[in-house]
Amino acid sequence: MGRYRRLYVRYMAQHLKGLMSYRVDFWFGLLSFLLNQGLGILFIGLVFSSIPSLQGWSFFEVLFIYGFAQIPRGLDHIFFDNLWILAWRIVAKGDFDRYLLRPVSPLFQLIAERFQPDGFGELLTGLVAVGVALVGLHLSLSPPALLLGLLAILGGVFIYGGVKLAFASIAFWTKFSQSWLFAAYRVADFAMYPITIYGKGLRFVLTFVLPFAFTAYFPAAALLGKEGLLFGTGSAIIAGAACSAAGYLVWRLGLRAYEGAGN
Amino acid sequence: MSLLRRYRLFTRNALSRLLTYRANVLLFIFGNILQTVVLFYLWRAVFRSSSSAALKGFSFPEMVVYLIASTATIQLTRSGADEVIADEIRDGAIAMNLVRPIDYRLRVLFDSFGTSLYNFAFVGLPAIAAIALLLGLWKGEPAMPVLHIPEFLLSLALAFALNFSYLFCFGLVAFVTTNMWGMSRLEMVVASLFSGSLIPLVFFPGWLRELSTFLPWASMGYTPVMALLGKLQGASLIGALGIEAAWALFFIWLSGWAWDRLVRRLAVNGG
Repeated sequence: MGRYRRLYVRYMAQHLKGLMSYRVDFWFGLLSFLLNQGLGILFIGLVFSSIPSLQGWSFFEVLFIYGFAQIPRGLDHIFFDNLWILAWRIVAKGDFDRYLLRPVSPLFQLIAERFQPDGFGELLTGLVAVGVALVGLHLSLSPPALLLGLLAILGGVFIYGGVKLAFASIAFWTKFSQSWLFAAYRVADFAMYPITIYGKGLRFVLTFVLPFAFTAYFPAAALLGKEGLLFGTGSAIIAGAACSAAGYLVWRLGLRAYEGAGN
Repeated sequence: MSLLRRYRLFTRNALSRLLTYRANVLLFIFGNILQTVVLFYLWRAVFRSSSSAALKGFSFPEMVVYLIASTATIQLTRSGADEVIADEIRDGAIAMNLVRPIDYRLRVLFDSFGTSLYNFAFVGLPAIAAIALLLGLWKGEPAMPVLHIPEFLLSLALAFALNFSYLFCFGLVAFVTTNMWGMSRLEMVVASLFSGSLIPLVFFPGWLRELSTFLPWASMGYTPVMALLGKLQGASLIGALGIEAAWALFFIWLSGWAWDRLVRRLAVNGG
């Protein structure tokens, strides 16, 4: 464990050095994600200028859910971004063999190799939106609610991470699976708004198939007092564990298929 | 005619490239359509929550047609010329294309035709079918949109010319920067806001609305769709088409000028 921790720090330092030499790209990337998530807030603001509430949700409640959604998404983006690269070119270019040669878990190497500060764009937008919404709603979270909220965010990070791992691992069979990841991520966009506005079928998908509703709607609504606190946050944690397990399973199967093809 | 025959190959190339990676391309398109579906549900909730039947002049059926037509227009006109150029600059393939006896701009243009044809088949036709189906469903409703097809087609053609030359210029930026990834993400965000693909520009507050209709991005997506819905008529239609044509001419000129300058510089560097 200690070895992995030391290795991770080494990897991160190495990666930050690389980022320093592409400073402009770093700022553009950060700015683009900041603006992109900001556009969502602008959309909500413009829409609410002509309606008092969105099917029972006030402006600040919608803002809270939207902001909450950005936090696990941003954290996932910061720490698990190399999975996009796996789906894009690591398998296709034959670079994956490198990970198999070293005496460290390939999944660990893959995750540790990249630290993506672009994700701070989402994280920052999310924190600001949640803060503004809490002030607007005159809501202060009790310490247990805060703790459960943080655990739910962790659950959300692992929902994103697990789904991403599963879809990126498709590359072991198809060489390129970024298109799968892209489509899965667009499904996550639905989770940034109260899921009560969707039809039954869509709600089912967001809850049981690609359970992105647990990255935002359920825990956020729980913190707002619209769902049971333990249900909303607890389900996010369970969904996080389930998605990670599923993602890891697909990864293992993919590894086996990959090795089979290579040797 | 012989020109068409010569460059037609590039269109066919683009088409066969897209067809080879069929599953991937369709998944990317599917992802983009999902964004439109999110917007559909948001607007449905908004209209259900509103006490008036129209918001900023849009009825719900009009808004749905707006969303579908806007998605299709962007897919048809944003043909990825920038990516083609940036990729060739990055991997050096552009050098080969410079020594060939072909006009590089025409080559990329015919490549773009291929992408647009493909998108017409997989996004354009389904969009037309969806709108036709919805119009049938809404028959007799008072807020039924009336479509202005000739105006739309004219504006769409201008939008294609504008978008192509704009993206050509943007792709050339790869000659001077290695930060294309960040730049193109930023460009996408700005374009999605000001082309009205996120929200019709009439929803912007006063000054921003005025300003945004003069920016080139409005001409790329917003103008054709508003023309289709008949929200631009008479003087306002002529004005909007005029702005669109002016931007198209400007970017056609800019793309030629920038290309000549960059190629000259490239030749000097090469010795």
